[in-house]
Amino acid sequence: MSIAFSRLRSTPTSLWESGFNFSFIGSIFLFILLVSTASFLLLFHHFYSRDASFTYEFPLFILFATFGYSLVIGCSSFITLYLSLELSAFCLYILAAMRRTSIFSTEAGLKYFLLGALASSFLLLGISLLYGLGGSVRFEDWSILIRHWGDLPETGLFWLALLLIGVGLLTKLSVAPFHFWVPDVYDGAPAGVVAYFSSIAKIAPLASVAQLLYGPFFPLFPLFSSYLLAFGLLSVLVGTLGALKQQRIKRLLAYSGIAHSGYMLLGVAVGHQLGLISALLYISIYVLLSIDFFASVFSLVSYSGRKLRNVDNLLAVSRTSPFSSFFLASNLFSFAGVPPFAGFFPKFLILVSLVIQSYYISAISLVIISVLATVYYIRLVRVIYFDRPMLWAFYRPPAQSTNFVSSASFFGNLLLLPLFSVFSLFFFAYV
Amino acid sequence: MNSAHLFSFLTLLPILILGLIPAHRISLLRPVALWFSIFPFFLALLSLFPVGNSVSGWFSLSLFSWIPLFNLSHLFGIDGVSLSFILLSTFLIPICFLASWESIRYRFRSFAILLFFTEFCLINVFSTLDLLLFYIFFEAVAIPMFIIIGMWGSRLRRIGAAFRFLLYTLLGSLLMLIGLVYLYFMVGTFSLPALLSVEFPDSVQSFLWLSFFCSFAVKIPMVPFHVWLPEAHVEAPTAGSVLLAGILLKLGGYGLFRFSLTLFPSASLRFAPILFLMAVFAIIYSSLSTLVQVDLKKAVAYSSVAHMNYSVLGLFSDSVEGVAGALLLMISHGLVSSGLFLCVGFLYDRYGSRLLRYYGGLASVMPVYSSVFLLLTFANLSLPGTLPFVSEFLVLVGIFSINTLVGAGALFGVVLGAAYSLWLYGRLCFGPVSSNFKYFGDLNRRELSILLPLVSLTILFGVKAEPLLLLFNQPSFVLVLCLALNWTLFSLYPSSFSYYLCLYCYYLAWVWKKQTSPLLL
Repeated sequence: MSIAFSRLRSTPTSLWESGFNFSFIGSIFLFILLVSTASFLLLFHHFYSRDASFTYEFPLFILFATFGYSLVIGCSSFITLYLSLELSAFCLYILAAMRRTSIFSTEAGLKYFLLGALASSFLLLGISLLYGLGGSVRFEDWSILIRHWGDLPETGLFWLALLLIGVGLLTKLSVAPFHFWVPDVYDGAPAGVVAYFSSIAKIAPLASVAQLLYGPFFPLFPLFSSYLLAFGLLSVLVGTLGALKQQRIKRLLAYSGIAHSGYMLLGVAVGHQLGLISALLYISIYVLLSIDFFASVFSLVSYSGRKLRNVDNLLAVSRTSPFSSFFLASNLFSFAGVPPFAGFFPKFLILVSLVIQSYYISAISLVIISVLATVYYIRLVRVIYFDRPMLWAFYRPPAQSTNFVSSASFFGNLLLLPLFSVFSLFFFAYV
Repeated sequence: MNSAHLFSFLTLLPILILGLIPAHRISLLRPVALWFSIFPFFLALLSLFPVGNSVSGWFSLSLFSWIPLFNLSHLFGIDGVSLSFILLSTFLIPICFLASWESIRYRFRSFAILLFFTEFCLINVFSTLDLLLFYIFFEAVAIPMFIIIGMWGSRLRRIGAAFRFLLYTLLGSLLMLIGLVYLYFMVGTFSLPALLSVEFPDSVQSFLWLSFFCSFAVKIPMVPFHVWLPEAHVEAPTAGSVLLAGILLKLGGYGLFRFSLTLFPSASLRFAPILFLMAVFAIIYSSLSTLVQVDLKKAVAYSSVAHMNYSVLGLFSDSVEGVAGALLLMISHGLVSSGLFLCVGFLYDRYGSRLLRYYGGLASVMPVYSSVFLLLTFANLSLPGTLPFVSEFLVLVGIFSINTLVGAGALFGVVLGAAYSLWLYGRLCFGPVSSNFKYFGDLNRRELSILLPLVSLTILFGVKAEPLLLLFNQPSFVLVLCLALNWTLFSLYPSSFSYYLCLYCYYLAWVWKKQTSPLLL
């Protein structure tokens, strides 16, 4: 081990030399990131066009955050990983506190800043420990180093460093034991920002977890995978149970987002090619779905100017704006993973990959939890369609452009996404 | 891509067309929906013609690949069994439209679109030979039914009923999904013809059989899993009940016939005694609970539980008569129970109540209604001369040939069936005229024209069941043959006549060995 260390130290490399390197999987993540950001901006620029506090900074910070995330996807050393994560994280802190006049928004921004800074400091501490141990922060060096260890490294600091890095990244991904900031931040932040948090902001952390797992730390994969699977299952469970009783839409979405990150983590950590494919598929479908979900919720603004906050506000929406509620319902079924909708396929593939790796118990418990998850998605469908209101509720009909985008995304939900999935699978098989 | 694929996607066309018509023009929407729903039925009738000259029992097998990487393909195959179920579903959809002609005014367009979506799923579920697609459509059928129950149901309890329906179905079919995933992991394909040539080890067969059974048992329903059914029936609008009893319950029996029995023959034979026990218990239990029901719809719902469990008995009776009888029973129950639900629905449309104690003496004020209802009641208790008699007789023949005790239990169920049907009819139509209602109106032309085809088909096929049995002959014969020889059912897919002749020789040898003469061949 010491020989390997000394060899590495004897060839000094600059910190920034080959700091970025887009792998094949990374380029797919990047594709998903850019496409979803474009569709996000198209949608929400329209919604915020009349809002004074969102005029200039909103698209700017969104674009900066996306820029940071694309760097995260492409980074090839720990330092660039940290820096680009911080770039986008700062944008997100500002975005969360965007609505300056609202106490809740400021509170959300502050909470997010504190907890995000804590996670980042964990990440940075882990990275500095690694640098102290190996003398390098480049992924390439670490993959060589770990491969040449032969046996497990006996130093406890190494494991501490890995733990810290894992905590940092999983907090960004909002996976279960590190999820406590999620509902509070989502609840306070403006809805358009929450749409960004819950969808696009998850792509890059997932990508970096995947790249670390399958890149430098691949020889240690068998050690990690069981812990990561446990985290994934736990967050599916926590997300589902937490969402069951929620009355506020954003909190509900926060918990369901935790559950979905759990699924994605399962796909990445299961250690099979199919699992990785299904995680990619999962995140691409999930991102588009949640953007569409928020767009549909956004298009329902009542005449009194009140936004939709509680689940009860959705009452009788199906009568006043049938199209938006139809898209909402189809999105909800898709979130739940009921077959004809796009959400079914990635969940199914994750199940297949779990069974292939013979994690039978996890597969069965996942299935049973997913029935529970259906309950709270369908509760929304019930409020939209089944419950009849005591009082008349009035909602403005959504603008033409919203309808257009939502219907496009609905057809994407039903038709294009299966096609896209087929296409991406081909891509994986033959490239 | 050929005509079968086109047919299976055909019902998506009316969805688009209805979507273009403004929602408030109900008077235009109704006839459009009706005519578009009649059209697929005649198309399905047209596809009866190849039956006569098909030797293998399979006609219009066709395939196009869907996701080649995962060996997923859209494989269509229609044999007599699938075709008869497709005919039944395409027959019942226009009836549903006619039945809700007046009663559904609230958001009729959504209702029509959901019915067409149901039809689309049903046609596909009965014609696909790919297990994943079967699963997808099997599950997809639950969504429109969930919305129909929840939106157009009559009382506040409808929401709980819809939830219960959907969650029971989901839980069952997700357990099936685990089995499917395991199957895929073992074999690497979902296509039924390929899977039939695989012989699974016994333990694997048991596991897979149980996981498939979970979802089918919820749909049939077997007794511990039946809780959703009475609630869903009672709360659903008439069209929903008709669809539910007429076709959706058959999905379970169809799945057992098409997948459980053929893919896992030895597990099926192993679990058959438990299944017999469950089915006989279900028959007697649900017949007895029919006797105490105060709600008309609930009574009909419980009686359909009993009938569907007869078909389970027949399917697992390991005899040609039993299997063909079970399939026939499902078709006949589809006709009779929809008729009964329609009758109850017509009463509800008039008087706004389904409670038995408000009614009485309908025979003197609604003579046409009472006579139609009488014919349907006779059919429900399987009186000779009606189609259910033929099917229940065949099932009983099949079940007596292997187990007298089970047969005796089933016979007791028949007696109970006669008791509850006659008692229900007597309380509804005889006795003093109820003083709760001031005005009575007999069936109008629309309602009569809905009921007449159902009643006349029941009696027509009851007198001469051969045309229907012709459809079930070959599939059930091949199934039982392969069960007896413990073959993997590769033989279900012979393409040449000589191969089939060879099979027939094997069959004759088997008959000679068992010293029983087959009724149907």
